[in-house]
Amino acid sequence: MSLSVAAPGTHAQVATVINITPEQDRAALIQALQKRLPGTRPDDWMVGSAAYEPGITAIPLSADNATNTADILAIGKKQWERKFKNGKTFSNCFPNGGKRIAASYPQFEPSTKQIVTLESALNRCLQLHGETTISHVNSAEMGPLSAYARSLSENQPLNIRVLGQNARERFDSGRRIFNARIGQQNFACASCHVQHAGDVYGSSMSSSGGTGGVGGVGGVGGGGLAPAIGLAVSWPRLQPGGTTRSLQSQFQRCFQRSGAEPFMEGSDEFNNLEYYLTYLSNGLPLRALATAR
Amino acid sequence: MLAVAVTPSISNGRAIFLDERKGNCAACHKVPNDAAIKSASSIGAPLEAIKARYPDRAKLRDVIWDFSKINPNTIMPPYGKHRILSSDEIDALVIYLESI
Repeated sequence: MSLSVAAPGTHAQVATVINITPEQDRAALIQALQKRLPGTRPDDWMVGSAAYEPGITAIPLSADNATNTADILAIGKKQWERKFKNGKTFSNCFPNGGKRIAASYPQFEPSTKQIVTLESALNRCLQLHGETTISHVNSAEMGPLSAYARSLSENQPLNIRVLGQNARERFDSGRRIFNARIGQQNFACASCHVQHAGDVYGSSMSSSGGTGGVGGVGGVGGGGLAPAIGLAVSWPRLQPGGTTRSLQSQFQRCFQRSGAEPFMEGSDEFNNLEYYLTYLSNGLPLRALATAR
Repeated sequence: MLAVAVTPSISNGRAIFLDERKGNCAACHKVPNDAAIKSASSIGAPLEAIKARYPDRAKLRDVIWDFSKINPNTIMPPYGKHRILSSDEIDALVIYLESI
């Protein structure tokens, strides 16, 4: 798969040099999205299509399928509080016992020059204490655990930092992937979440040989394409049936819809993309486990 | 995968238009003159009066084949260039589009 670099919000096919700062990029995207969705602001966009689809504007996040949310968080709490063989728990691995830390993930780690997501930090903790790690794709275990870990930072403003050249390279890599045209369908993440944010994607039906419907893209049920800013605020997401979906699992779905072979969850590429996308939501309050929209 | 010959006809074109694994066109376009297609989509322009808009069939075919050649910023998949649809399937789609 070839990736081309485009300026924010555009889809240039030919590689160009980007020399704008992360904050300039974020500001340009906010401006572009406000032009597309007049009268809305970044804190409206974190509820996805609820920001501009009248039918669901009245549903507050707190009303999202409360029973299932409580169930998932209870499972996660049990995992979080479980004593490891050496008597330690997850809270021993994080500052402040894990409270008010999730809003700074993913973060760049200078010593390894890697992006550390919250999920990989949880696994490092397991590894450090001689426990079996949890696969990123194991949504039954990683979903509730990461949701509970995030709930300890509920409403904390996202605060992703890009300090130094090495962190910047990771950020720029994420930006390149976000803007790259991929797969047979030739979509970029930005095609849906910047260029067409707020548009409705998907047909309902045809009486003769119809499709039966095409769901929304980007975890925004109902067909409204959610703006890039706000997309990273609330993960994992509660799915119909009470399962969870991680942000990187959603990346995989988007890649598949574009007809592209997705990267692995936890890969450098998806970690960089998560780093970039989460930075775009800086300042918005973290929400653990919202329902997919 | 071997391409299967498709007879260019309105009904075949309409089926390709609706098929999620083929054109999936209603995901992005409303079709005001085909009441059975209830699309709420707002990504692409509503499709109507196509024959008046594209009197030259070759130009309509070019749009379907690779619209990014005309508009590099388009989200429309390059159906011919990326082999999403065969040449026969594009011909059928053109005939359906000319009928709406």
